[in-house]
Amino acid sequence: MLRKTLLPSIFLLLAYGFWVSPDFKAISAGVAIFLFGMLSLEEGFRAFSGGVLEKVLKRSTDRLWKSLGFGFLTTTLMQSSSLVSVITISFMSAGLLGLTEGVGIIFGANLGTTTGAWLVAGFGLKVKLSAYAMPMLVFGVILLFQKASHLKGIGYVLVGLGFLFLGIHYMKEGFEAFKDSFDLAAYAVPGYPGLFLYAAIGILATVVMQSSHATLVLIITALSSGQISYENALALAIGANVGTTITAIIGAMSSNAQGRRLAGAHLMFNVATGVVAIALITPLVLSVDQVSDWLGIVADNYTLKLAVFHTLFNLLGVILMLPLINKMVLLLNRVIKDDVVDIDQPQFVVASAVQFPDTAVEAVRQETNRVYDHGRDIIISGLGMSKAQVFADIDLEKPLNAQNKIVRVDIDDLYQRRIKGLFSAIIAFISEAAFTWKEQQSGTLHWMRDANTNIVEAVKACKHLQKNMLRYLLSDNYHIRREYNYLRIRVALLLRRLEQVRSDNPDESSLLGLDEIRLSLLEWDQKQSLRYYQLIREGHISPQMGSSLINDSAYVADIHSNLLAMATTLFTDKERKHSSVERALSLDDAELNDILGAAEQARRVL
Amino acid sequence: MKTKKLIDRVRAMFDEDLRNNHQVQESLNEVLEKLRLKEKKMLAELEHEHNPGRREALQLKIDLVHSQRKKGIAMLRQAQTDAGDRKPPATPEP
Repeated sequence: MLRKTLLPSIFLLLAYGFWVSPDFKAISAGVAIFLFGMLSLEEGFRAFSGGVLEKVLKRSTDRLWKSLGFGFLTTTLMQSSSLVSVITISFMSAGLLGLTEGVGIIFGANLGTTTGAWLVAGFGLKVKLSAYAMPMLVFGVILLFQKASHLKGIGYVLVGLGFLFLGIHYMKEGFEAFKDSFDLAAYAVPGYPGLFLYAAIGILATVVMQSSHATLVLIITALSSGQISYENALALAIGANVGTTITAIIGAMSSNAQGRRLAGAHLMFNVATGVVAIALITPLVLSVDQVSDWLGIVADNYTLKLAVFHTLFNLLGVILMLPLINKMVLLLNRVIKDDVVDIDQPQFVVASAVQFPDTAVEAVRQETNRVYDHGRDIIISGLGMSKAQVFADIDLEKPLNAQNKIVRVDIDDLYQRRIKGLFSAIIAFISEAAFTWKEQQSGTLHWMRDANTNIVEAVKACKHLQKNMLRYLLSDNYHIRREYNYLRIRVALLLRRLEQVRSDNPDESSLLGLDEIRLSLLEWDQKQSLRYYQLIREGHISPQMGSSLINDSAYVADIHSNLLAMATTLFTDKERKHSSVERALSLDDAELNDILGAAEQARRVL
Repeated sequence: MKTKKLIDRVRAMFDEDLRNNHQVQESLNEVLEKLRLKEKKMLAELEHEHNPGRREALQLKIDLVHSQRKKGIAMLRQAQTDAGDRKPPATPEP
């Protein structure tokens, strides 16, 4: 119930917000663009995984000091710790980095971000990221159209960065109104209450503006004009440092568990550093004075002293947290669990079943039956039908022809979740078991492995068939619609027949009974292709439609032959006395064609 | 005749191929009998079927079972020859 109402409620709230406030619209668009940039960036990095990027990253982060250095350097160059943390999250989501390395980079990024304070305080400079967004998007999109995968990858990275910058830009634009309302002088408070209050304001301002740099500019302006005290400015800088983690938290929203852990590490580090800095504010201020003196900074140059403070307290944080990095990783792993993906787990092919040949063969048979169940269900839903329709003892033509809406299911996704895991487990189980056993069981396992492959092949053929099928089933052209309906009815009838074979008593489900299905398939195949040519000749369907039909009927034939081969092993072999004789008596295609040829001749004579 | 049967059984005890051959023959006989009955049943159905479409489909099924039986009989004869049997006890006629 909650799930069903959640999405519409969010939509309604957002729509109301957009209507009420254009600023809110700009901010939301900024978040959306930012998240899209994250996805694009991940896609881009994925294109490079397994290659150069992995090697470079591995080499530059294989030691803790290297991770720290990497984080420091990249943040100094990009002038944004948020961006570095977001990119690190996307690296981790793509599986290019581990959590320890990622945390190292985040620590380094926190140090790197202090160079920004020096630039702002010393030179009044700030790298404007949004200025890079447009050219990045243009170059990125051009590269996306290239065929080479590495160029495409670069394109995705550029487009991703472009959208990230653009997203931040929109968020900032949207928050301009909020920024104006932060009159810092109004809240000048001395002592510890002031520290906490200003730290909170610093957090809020940075969350709102999505940039600790922007907050620092505000602080420096306010400080130089004497609106706030030096202590309050320090508290604001501490708050800005905590608030900057919000970007990583937003970034982690679209990420997997690893990304969320990194955002957690970022938050833990910055909050811990902030708390320590507030607790040790007096010794820190004394240290700042000493270091400033040593660096030759005049006593009343508070802006540069603020930069010194920023560097010192982040350095203190890194020194304090570095020894705890492994404990932090353990804690994060425990608190933030891996995403539970709905993937079918093997029930029968378990380690204990491999000990005895007979139990192992039975385990593989049972598991293969599950693979078939899933494969059958995927094929049925993939072709826009329901199990109730297929297995009811009714004429399928009418209800299927009357269908005016077909829901497309993602066969690839279903295959990954429902079949691949089981199939892989069966393959692993068979390779572990087969080679040590007697010939008979090994032989059965060999057939079982083939049966699994047959099911997978049938699902793949269904995937190829699905594209045109769903398109033409809703076509205005009656003839093409009817032909595609015939195609899926053929598949449905086979599944229905196989289900009968599976559940009937052993006498009825003999291998020889499957020859009947093979014969009818061959007969249908021959008649069908003749009809397609006739439909093209008479102008009922276009040659393009005809070629699609011919290709797709080949996929139907693939589904048939694979499922029949599977059934030969899976449905008829169980403890059967005559299975080897029946297998030998079963007719091959040439023999079945002879029967059809003779029947055709007899028809002509009549 | 009885002596020959006895000799065959003794031979089969020591000869695994022969034992397998006899098993195959027995199995073939059983399967062929079932197929014969199935064909007979369908032939009876055909006599009472007047719908041309259904008659054609049924005839095709009968042809299929008949071909399977023919194949089986050829296999049985081959098995009997391999086992050195001149006169099998009950060879079904196609």
